[in-house]
Amino acid sequence: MNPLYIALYGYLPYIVVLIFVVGVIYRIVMWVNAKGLVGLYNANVCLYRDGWGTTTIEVLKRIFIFYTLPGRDKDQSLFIGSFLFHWGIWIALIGHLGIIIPGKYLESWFGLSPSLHHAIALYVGGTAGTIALVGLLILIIRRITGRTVTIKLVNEYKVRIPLTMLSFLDDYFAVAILLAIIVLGLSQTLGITPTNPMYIDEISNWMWSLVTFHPNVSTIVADPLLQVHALLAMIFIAYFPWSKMMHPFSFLFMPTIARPAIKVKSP
Amino acid sequence: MSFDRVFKERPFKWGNVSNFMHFMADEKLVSRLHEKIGHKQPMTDEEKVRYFKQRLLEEYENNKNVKMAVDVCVHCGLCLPACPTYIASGDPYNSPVGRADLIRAVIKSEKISGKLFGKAVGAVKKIDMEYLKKVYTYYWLCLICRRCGYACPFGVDQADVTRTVRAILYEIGMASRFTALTVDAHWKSGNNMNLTPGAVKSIIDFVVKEIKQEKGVELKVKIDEPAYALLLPSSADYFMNMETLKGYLLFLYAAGIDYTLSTKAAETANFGLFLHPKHLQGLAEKYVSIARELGVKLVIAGECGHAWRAHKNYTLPRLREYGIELVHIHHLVIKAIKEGKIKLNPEANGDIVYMYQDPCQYARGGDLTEEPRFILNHVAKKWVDPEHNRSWTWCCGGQGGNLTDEVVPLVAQYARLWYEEALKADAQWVIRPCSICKAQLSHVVPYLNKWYNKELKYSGLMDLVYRALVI
Repeated sequence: MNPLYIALYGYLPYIVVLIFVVGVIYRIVMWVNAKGLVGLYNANVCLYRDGWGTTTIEVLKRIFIFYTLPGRDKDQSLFIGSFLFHWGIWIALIGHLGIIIPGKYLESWFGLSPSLHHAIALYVGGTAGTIALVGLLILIIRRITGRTVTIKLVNEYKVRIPLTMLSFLDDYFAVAILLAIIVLGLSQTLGITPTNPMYIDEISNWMWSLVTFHPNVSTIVADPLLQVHALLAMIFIAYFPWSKMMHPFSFLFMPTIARPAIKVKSP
Repeated sequence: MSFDRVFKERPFKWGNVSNFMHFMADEKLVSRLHEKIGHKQPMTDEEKVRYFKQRLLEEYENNKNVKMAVDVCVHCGLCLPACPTYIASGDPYNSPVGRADLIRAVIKSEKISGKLFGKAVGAVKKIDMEYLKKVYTYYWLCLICRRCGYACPFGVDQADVTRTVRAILYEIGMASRFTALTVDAHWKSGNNMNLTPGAVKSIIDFVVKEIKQEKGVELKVKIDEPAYALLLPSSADYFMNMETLKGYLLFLYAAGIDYTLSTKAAETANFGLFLHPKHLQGLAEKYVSIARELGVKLVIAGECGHAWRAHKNYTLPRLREYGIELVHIHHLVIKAIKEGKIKLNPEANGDIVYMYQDPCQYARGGDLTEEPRFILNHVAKKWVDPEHNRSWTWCCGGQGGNLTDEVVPLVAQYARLWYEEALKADAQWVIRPCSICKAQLSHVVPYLNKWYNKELKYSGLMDLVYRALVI
């Protein structure tokens, strides 16, 4: 077998996971170590009245339902695009667990029959991938074309959001690679799985071999679509900790979380 | 009108407001201020540029606000329609993400990605004094109102990044003349307006006489004497907002609170907030030492938004180290109402439709939104909230050092937002219990009233308390 295959799909995944874990920890340590706050406490996520319970709920609401994005004076396309994209991606990522564990184990451990697994992969995975794609396309279109928000007072204030002016290579790189990963993943799920249900098992044999530290790339040698999808995913995972893709983790390390505001005591 | 010449010399142009650079403080003034905080500034332009880059990178490593702003901003643009400076000017640099990118470009230029890809990743090629002037221009046009921080999905607080960048600019000698003069006056005289102890005493005598005429009661106001509480009015209250000052004095008398004024602290403001953290701390320490000298147990902050932020977050924790508490005057009014210590007659404020507009620093991080509304319910027959209220309030347009004369044509545009909010609700009188708001309104309301052909009036909240108090 071509040693390049073995290197790319047998050994590179371990390096990528290592880069990801070390990178995420490094970035978080850097955030935690940045303690200066310009001499004043602040209230970045509006938590100044709250305790740990409401703080946690606030953070979870921001991460999972994006509740601050829609509403008056806001660009609704950001909410729609973000909501669809992130939820599509999360469901698809959970679905990927089903291709890490081979079908025989899924059946014996979780009672998930191969036919049911294939159906879930096709319909739930396919739907999630489509939702993510639609969401990402909305986000890309708004980034390329810009948006205008109207604020209605006595006059109407048309506020232009010139996103092209404020977007750089790193912004475009992230969306471009995500778009390619989603399109390739979706074409496998919707294009190959219905005609070849065993396709899932071919992938999971490779993935499981990685999990068990006995890399075996033979099952994916004849599958160029998967190879490109996996390679792009590995590039993205390695890029993640060194980029703005870290933004979901940031909620937990915003200044207010660590230093709640001071309360006034009425005499 | 007072600013006609400025309107002529510095016309407002939609989309590009770079002509509104704040006048810079001269070297002599800056060095005097530097001495106060023990700073020695770099001299040559080359040294200044190098120092700016080095300090910015230091802040990026150590300052959580700067770090998060640079690391986390995904350029979603949500802050743009939230920022009054951008909405009213249309200049992308005059916006949170525009300002952030001016410094992100400097930080990026020092990173590997910036060295490899340059402008494509937003790194700036050449950082020189011209570039720093651009940074200076737009960072001083920020209102530090924090509306962007509340709009940002991640809570990136560009207002605090503004404060950091201004601090570094100040360290290399680039400071807004108006703010530098104000801080200098505060260091020298204990207040922003250079009021002498004699002037403070005469004004209080005059105010006491007026209160006697209007309310029929003769107040005895302690000045520089030991008391239970120290009252900190804004220095502007001594001659611009006299009704507010009368409100403090009459209320404290009616509530039976033993208080004193201080000629060494005839002020509640802290413009250090807009200039440099060390000045903020230094000026706050003045308040702490005066409170200790007078042996008070309580410090009462007068109506002023930015001062409230500085007091609540810096002065209060320091005072607590000496067993002294700090509250806003509104807290005491509520307590007195609830305990039945004062009688208020809303009829005294007439049939006017008032609108309560939250000062930014009360509503965003200040925990002071419901208290003024509670008081209004007791002192006004009819008042309304704007559609954009509480944490979505519009800045008056003069915050963050933008009260300076040379930017009036621009900040009058910023002010259209809150002004139209009042017109939309058919309000006749805007209540803004903040000294900066009131000063800004005195600059721009004559123009706005002319442009919109209206007669909108404004005041603080203690003004209404004064009129409503039944003695």
